[in-house]
Amino acid sequence: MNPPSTACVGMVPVFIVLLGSWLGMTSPVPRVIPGAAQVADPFEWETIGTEQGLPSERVFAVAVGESCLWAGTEAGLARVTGDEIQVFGVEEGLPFPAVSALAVDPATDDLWIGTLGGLAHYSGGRIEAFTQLDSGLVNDVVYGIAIDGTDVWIATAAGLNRFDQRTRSWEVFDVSNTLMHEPWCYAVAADGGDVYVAIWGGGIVVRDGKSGVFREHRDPDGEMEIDLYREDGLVHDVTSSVCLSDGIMWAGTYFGLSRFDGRRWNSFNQEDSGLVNDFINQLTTDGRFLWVSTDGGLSRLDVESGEWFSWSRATPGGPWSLTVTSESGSAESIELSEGPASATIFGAALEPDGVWLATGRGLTHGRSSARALQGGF
Amino acid sequence: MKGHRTTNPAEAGSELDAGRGRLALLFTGIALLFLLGSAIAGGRVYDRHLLRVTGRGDMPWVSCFECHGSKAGRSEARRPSGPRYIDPLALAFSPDGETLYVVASGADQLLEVDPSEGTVRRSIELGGFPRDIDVSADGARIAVTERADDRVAILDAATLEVSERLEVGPEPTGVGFSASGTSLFVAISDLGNLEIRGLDPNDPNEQAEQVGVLRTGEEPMAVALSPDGSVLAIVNQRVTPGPQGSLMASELTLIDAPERRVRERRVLPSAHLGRDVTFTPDGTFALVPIVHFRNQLPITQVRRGAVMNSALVLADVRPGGPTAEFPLDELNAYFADPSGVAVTPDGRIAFVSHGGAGVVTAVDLSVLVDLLQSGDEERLASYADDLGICGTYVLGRVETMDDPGAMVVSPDGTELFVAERLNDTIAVIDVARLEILRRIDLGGPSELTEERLGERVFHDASVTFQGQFSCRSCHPEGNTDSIVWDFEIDGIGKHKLETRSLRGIRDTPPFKWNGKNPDLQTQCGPRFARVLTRSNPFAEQDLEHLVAFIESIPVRSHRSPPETEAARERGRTLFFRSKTTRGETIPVAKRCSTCHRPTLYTNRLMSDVGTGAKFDTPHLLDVAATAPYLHDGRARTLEQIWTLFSPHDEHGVTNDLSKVQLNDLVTFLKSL
Repeated sequence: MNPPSTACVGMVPVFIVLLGSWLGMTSPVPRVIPGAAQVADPFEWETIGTEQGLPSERVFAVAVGESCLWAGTEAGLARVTGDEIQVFGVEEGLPFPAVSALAVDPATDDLWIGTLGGLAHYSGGRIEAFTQLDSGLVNDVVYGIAIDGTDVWIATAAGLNRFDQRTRSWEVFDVSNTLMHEPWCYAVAADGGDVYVAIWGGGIVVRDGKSGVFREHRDPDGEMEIDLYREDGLVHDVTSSVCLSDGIMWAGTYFGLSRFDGRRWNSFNQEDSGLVNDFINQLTTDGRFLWVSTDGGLSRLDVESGEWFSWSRATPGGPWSLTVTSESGSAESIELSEGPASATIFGAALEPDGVWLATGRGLTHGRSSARALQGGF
Repeated sequence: MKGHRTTNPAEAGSELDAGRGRLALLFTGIALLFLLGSAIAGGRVYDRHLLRVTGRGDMPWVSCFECHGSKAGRSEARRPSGPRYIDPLALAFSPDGETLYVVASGADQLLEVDPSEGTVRRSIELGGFPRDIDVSADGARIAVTERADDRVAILDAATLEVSERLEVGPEPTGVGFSASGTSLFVAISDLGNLEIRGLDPNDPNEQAEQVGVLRTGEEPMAVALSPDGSVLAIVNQRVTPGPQGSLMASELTLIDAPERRVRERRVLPSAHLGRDVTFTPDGTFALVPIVHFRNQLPITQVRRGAVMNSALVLADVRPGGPTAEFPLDELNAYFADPSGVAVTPDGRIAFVSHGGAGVVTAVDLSVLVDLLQSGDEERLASYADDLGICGTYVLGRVETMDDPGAMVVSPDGTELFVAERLNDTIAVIDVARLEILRRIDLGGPSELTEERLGERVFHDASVTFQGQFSCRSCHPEGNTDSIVWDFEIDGIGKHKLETRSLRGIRDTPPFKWNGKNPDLQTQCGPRFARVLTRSNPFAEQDLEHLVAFIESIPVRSHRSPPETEAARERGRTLFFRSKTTRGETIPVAKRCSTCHRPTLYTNRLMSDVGTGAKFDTPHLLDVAATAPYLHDGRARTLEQIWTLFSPHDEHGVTNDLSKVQLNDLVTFLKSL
């Protein structure tokens, strides 16, 4: 099975969830319109948890490989093939049990694994670990991974690493040799040599692949509490995810979503768009759709029509609802009988007819209704 | 009248003599005082000099030679001068069986040999140290790795001319075409990678595009494609790094060749030094000759046969297929250094060459396959230590000349060609009768230099008890085997030591981790025999030759990627620094460059770096290839030396360095 497009990177570990709670963020309450017959959930939802063999129900990252699905949990890595789940922990070679980021190398189908205690490479059944104590990895807390050709880009708590698989050499980019003024790299995306890094409190730093020159995108108004001027630039400096598609850069922050086409910026917030929640954990795109994983549910933006599909819960443990918001702002909602395992969604991975979600209560599979009977992995 | 004093001439002479004697005594006294003063002053100068250079006041007497006795640097660690031997290292047949290609590693040539006539038809000069060869399925192209030049030469078989040269990673070894001829697989031994290049068979001038990099085991040496082209097998020479004291293993890497995916990395427990791999004709099994080692036991147990033995790995390459190691040695007869492997076209017999024994072993494959398929997991694991079993599958052994290695069976299956590397010949063996039919002389020099004779001693296991191992068994290609052995007589595992590389050690006495051996003659002489080989020491002449060879083992020219140049320079500055990042002066004894003084990067003195005692300071040339580190191999990587094993700056002052600076320092060291 091939992922249709870029698996965008970005991972928010547990303490960020706690931070969100501390900041008083809550899930939005969608307007439920009884009898809105034209709105239908395009997905059927099914969740895999510890009962099925996951090592933990707290799933922080998910990635789609050619013949399997990978889930990074708080207590190890799971390889899902059909009904079979194979678990990899420290004994199998992981440097640390909590898996925070995953990236499948499209050229090799190998898996790169970020943990809160180092980096690992899965190839042919063997896991090779790298830590700051025994390799050039700059820091053991890995938040994001991106693969571009033979380069593996690693976003860590103390800067950005490049590991060149062809030469097996390491390079470090941090506050000492780039424009970064914060070292907390939360996510990284790379394409054709260009690298985009989401830095917590530092906006987006971009490295030009040809020149090696860095430039940065910051929130021009500099306000930490509000976005003072709309669409003047990045919505906020606290960025958590970055994602590329067709020349468009999407940046997820804890205060909304930004879109940049190279000239103009657009901002999307919970209050003025179909975005389900401003606290964004990760962005994923296949070019047509942008998937936004948040602390308050899941949103999908049709980048062509501007239409939003957002799944949310009014109360924790309450029923799910789906809200469809057009580009003009009109919205319709329906209540759903099923949905993802949790509204705390850490990340998504796309397959041709569905989406996999890493949530705080398990690994949820959203199968497109038309394909639901055909089965997945 | 003024009286005259008259003197008897004899008396006068006596007085003169007495005066001279007093004068001589005086001068002698002055000289002695001068010498005494000079000695005292010299001693003070010596002490001051030693203190200034080493920063240490605890040094015992150190002769001037220790530091000033040699001007040698890496530039003088070179390939032996004199005649260039052929050193046939790899063989391949053309698909029609009419041509035998011979990689002449020592002569930097590819030879085209008429296999029936035994004559060299044509030859072509290639780059440094050509290592492996493959012929495309249609026979039109030949690929040869040029190991020292980091290239692969693609040759037109019709003209025997190079049509293309591919720049690849450092130290390419094994090479193989894909079944369709549209891809080339190249094992990069320095990095543990497999590079995959796309080829356009219709346009030899089109530069091969890199289409993938896959991970292999440590130091991959050979690749083989299954007959149907579906699986590429890669075998590696060194063990996978692991925590100190853990059971070590190498691997058989299986690649889905058409999809270019690592399918499986099959663990080969307690196995290493895999240098060749081949498939059975049906493609079901891969065969790898290996050395099965037992480093958890004291090496003094050599008399019990418990140190290492030769084995043949048989692996069912189908997903989930079984793998087992089958010993090739007998309880009282060992055949050291298994090197090459070949299988007859009917899949009936497998041949393994034993470089250290000068023997080729013929194995009945049907028996091995039965054993593999009939045993449960526990039984299969037990074969590795069962030296009594090989009588059931060894069909016979054929003695060869020095260091038999690469082998190939003629396409009609009647003859086995064996490269006798250190004899510059190819033995042709009758497969049916297991007898040598003839020998092809590749035209090497008739003169045998000291180094050449020593190289033969180095690769000859006959000096060890029952011929269990040779020098090469622990120092493959002159390097370390990366294994920590228990060398000491105590036999209780108290003194475990990592094998040291022999590359470039000529001017780095003393030898041995405890620095007790002042020269290589002592290092390799009677004491070595007593501790390690448990047999008679080398004959005096052999020992001199052996030392001459070891002294000629060159340091590899290490290649660093150009993009690391800036980091290397920053690291160099850190290596030679005298002040910390806070501006404090680093004591001389705690500076990197004090103990690891260029150009050899050792001061050849003993130092305590916090590992329990004083140990000989190793040189750092090609240090990247000599993991693990520290005397007992406790540091799996260079980084660990400082992040884990120098908590109080015992191994130089480094605790002030940031992680980025430490990375730079390591990058510099890896460039040496």
